[in-house]
Amino acid sequence: MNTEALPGRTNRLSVWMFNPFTYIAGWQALMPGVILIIGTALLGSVGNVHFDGVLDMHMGAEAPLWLFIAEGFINWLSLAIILCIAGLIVRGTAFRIVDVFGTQALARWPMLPAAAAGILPANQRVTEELMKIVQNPNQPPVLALEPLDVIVFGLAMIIILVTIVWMIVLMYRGYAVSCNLKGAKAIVSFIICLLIAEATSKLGLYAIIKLFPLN
Amino acid sequence: MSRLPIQCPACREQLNVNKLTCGKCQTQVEGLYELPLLLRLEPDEQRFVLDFLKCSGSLKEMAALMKLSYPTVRNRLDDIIGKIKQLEQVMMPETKEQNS
Repeated sequence: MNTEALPGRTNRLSVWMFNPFTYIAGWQALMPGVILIIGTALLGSVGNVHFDGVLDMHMGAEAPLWLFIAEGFINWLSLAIILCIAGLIVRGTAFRIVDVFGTQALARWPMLPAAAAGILPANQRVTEELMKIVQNPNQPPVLALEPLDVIVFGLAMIIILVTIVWMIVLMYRGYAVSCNLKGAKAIVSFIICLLIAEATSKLGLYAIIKLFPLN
Repeated sequence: MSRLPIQCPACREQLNVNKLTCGKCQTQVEGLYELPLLLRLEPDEQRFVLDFLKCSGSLKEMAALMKLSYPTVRNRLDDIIGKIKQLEQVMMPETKEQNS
């Protein structure tokens, strides 16, 4: 069997980290991807970490569990559907829809450690203090925080930023592999899709909250 | 055995076969023979085509054997198909000239 095209052992770890879709796609990626989306939502609900948009992550507002799960699914489906449409337009030939949906579901897995970083007690304390300032704009801003809390919060923000960039890389790789797109055509179409999906996911969340009011 | 050269190192044109030798009795045959299209592919691409035939053209089976995802294998196949089409275009004028 042909092994020349396969990456070496040293390279294999980086492929698994940044392009796991070389090895896993379709239903094999869809199943764990969906489980991880639900897992992220459950973890997010513990510390009120919201993924309110394809690329968004915010902390603070309390909400029922169903909203956290809905956020995960809306984000995943918004981008996957738009990438399928783009793939059909840009590629012009057939590809498996399940590959796009599977890879995009699995591409969201870095949000699991991001949610874990978000629920740290130090982050909760800093977020509560920041929320107080935002909710009382007429009062002078006073932050009653421990220095350690601020350090943990800063580190968590860095981790979250890195995981979001990592997720974008995985999303792009998933799209490129599923639709066999390369170069500028793949990059430009992906960026356009990401921007459209960001807006679509926001609209989707707005619509679902309108349909099922939280109070 | 050395890797089969398919392009002229001087002008990058496609090479043809000029001499063939029997491995047993060393009899040599000289002439001008066109290199078959499949031999103009890279060795790993030739290997892929052979494996694909052995899998009865099943991409799913290929993916399982190569321990790669289905779209990765399909993309590799698409790339080889693209290369074969390009080679056919290059070989077409040569074939026409020989026929005339």
